[in-house]
Amino acid sequence: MIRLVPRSIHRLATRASSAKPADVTKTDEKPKFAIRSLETSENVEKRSLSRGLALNRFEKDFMIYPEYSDSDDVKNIEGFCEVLRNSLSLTEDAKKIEKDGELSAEVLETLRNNAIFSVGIGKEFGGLALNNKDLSKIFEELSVDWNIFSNSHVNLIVSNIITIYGTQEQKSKYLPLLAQGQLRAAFAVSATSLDTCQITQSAGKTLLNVENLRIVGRHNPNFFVVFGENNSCYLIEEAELGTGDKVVFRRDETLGLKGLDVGKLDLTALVDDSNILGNPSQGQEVAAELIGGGRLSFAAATIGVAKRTLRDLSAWCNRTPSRKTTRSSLADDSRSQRIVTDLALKVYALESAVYYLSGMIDEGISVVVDIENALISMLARETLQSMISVQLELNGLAAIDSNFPYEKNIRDITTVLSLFDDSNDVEQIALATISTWATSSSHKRIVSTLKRWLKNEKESDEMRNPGLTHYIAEHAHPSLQAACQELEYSMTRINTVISKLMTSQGKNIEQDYGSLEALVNVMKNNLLMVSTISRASRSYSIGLRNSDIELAWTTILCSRLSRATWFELDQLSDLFGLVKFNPSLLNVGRAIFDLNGYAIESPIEKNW
Amino acid sequence: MISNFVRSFSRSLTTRNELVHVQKHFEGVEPEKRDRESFLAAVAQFKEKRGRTHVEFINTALKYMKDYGVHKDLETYKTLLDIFPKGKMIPQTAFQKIFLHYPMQQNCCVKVLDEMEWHGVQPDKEIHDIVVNAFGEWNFATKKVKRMLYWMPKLKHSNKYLDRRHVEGKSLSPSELAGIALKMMSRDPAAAISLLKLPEDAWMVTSQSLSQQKLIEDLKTGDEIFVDRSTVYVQDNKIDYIILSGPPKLPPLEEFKKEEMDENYENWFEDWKKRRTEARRSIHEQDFEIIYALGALYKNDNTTAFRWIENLQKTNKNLETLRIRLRLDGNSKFNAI
Repeated sequence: MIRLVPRSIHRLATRASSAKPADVTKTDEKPKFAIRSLETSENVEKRSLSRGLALNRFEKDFMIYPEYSDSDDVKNIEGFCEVLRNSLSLTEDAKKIEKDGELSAEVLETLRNNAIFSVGIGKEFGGLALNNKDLSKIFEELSVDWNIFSNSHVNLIVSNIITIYGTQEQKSKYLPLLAQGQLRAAFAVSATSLDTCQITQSAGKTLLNVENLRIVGRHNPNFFVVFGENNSCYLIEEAELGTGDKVVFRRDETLGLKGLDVGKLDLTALVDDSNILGNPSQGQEVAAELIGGGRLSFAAATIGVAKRTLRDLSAWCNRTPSRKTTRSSLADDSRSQRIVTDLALKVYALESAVYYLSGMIDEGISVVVDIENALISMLARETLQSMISVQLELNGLAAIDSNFPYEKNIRDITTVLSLFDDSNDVEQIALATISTWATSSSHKRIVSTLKRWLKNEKESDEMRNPGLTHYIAEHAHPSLQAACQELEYSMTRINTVISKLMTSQGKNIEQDYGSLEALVNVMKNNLLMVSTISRASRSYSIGLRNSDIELAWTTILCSRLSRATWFELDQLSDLFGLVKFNPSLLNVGRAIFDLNGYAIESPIEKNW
Repeated sequence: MISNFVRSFSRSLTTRNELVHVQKHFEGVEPEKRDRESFLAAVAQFKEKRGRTHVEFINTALKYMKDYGVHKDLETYKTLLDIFPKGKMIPQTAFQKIFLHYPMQQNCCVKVLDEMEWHGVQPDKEIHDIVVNAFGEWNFATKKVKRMLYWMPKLKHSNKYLDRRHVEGKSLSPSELAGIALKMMSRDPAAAISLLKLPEDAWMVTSQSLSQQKLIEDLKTGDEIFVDRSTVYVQDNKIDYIILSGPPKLPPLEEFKKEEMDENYENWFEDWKKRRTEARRSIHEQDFEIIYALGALYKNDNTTAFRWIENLQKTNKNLETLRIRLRLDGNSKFNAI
């Protein structure tokens, strides 16, 4: 594809021409991130990237990396971020935050001056109403300290759910205060479960009563988002509480994130219907949205931290003498290069995916991004985990020395990771995909083993030699042909495998966690491949700096991911349609739980 | 402001409705007043008159661009191309499309674009639109601007050693420029670039890496090393820098390496262990010299270079024992210290 006109115009042209009128319904409201089912039988690939890829359907629009249509917007946000970066570097003092257990007055002032608390709030409520690309860029900067990030993050996600579910009164009451940073929000969503408050109804009023409710929020919170046992979400402002009400907060001793309030709340409050956010009994959905709405910015923060880590690591390795060779540095060791390769590729893939997704949402076309959003959160977690291990490997003792910054970073990351979890997501993502798959493709369950066996040869051939049908490479730079082919193989394979699973298991697949997890891994790989290919293609075509490296990285990443995909899917296929390869992943864990631990005898034990 | 200037300018040049020779627009301005504003004023004045001698005017303007210091200014090129009338020269019939329609004008337009390209001015969407509005979507001149828009951004960052965004459109002090130049030249990623500010706006920049310090440590008492000056360009900025270098110790690298298969597998592991601890040839050990440090000075003479060496001695103790020859002052004899 030769582009003589700038890409932005080109993109507008192609998107406009290919999208049908029904597809370009502009959505003014905030995107919703809670994973849901998409039961449309046609044009799934136009509405959801991951679902389309799993169905082996391809929409060329998804190969165009979204970007700002106006260069001035890019300059604006870059300028904004530069000011933010400079002012944060002047005021931020990690040691002081840790010691005081709160953000210092100067940091808060900086955040307020840069309007950080209002970035996600609509203009009519005194916010900046920035788009998702802007938000991602800003949160990359805010991640200079995890405490600064998480305080801003809480504010963002709480204002997000109020924007989506709040009534007009609730919006005009709370959003301006949140934008000014006067309301310090906290919410009751913990990693393990959704803790709820006891409810007592009397005379149109509701009494919320709870002790030891786990909450996370800005330091010294005065605005709470809690959930009742009737599955409603309540907004409680401390200033509005009556004389009989009480709020007592106790902070937990956490490993990191000392500047964020993580702790337990005792609450007794008399509330009425005006305190309910959304419809009564919509609590679960609000909670899912609360978590979902913060994932892109969390991933963006991860990118920011990872970029800084890689910069510091290269300075460290370049200046540290090698442990084995005289007159060479740690950076010359093949091992260091190998370790950093993994991390760098992860960061590159995550960055591509985050801005890809942010951009897709910003385009305003009705694309469903729930699955991708959840996948990105998983990727961010993986990146953070491997970042810690890389630091332990390369920085050595300095990684755990409190005179160096690494140690605090590691503590903060582990705390952040433990606050939220994605444990439910794997099944949700997989089933949301498979259910769409089942309604969008005609398939019948084959009960006869003989028939399955006869069909098997064709399927296993398709797995080995998937062949090309979409010719995705036509939509990317020629240098990425290999990467595009890998993506296409991966698409065909996942379709074959789902079809196989569905014919053999039908709805029983929902019991098979091993298969679902493998599917999710494959979908993750597919998302990364699409976003890196389209990004590298764009970068090279317009000649961004170091775009030659991007091409190389994308190629290696795609070939790796494609191989990993094949491996995952191969486990799911079965021999001659009879013997399952799918290893008994779960049985081992089940045994551990049943036997209350590792019950295998020590190998030196004797029996006679 | 510009319109005021135009008025006064036109008054000074001509009386009302008098013909002005195109050359006069630019020649008439005194050399010291030749700047962007007066250039734009001249163009504005021409446009106000709606003169029909576009080609002549633009050709003349091109000649004077450098004089007025606007040869790198995208906006000026836009204004210049904006002189062409809109719509009139867009080919309508098949014949007009096949043959060069308004050849003089198109050639003139291509000439302006060539000038732009020559001076490395990056085109943008607007300049494309200006040309399209004058000559149509697929005319010769338009193809030129489309090709520029395709290729120039692609090749914009072909110099991977220098991020031109750090230089372009910024007013950098000489020391900052020197820092950028040293960073561009220091291929060792471990190189630390340090700026030493001295009283009265004097400054010295040094680029040295740990392995270079190690190489200096390895020198023996009385070894001879040199300080020379050289020049490098960062975009349009000419920058003088100095090199601290000495004679090579290792034989030059062979251009072609003969592959040898060592089939003797005895003591392989021990050999390998010994070999891997051996020092590797660093990037600073070039075929004909070893480079110990790079620097840039506010003044390139031996006295300043001496101060630079003195400063360098703080981190490189071994320098005291070496014979350092400063060769900055033109043809002066080698000054040993």
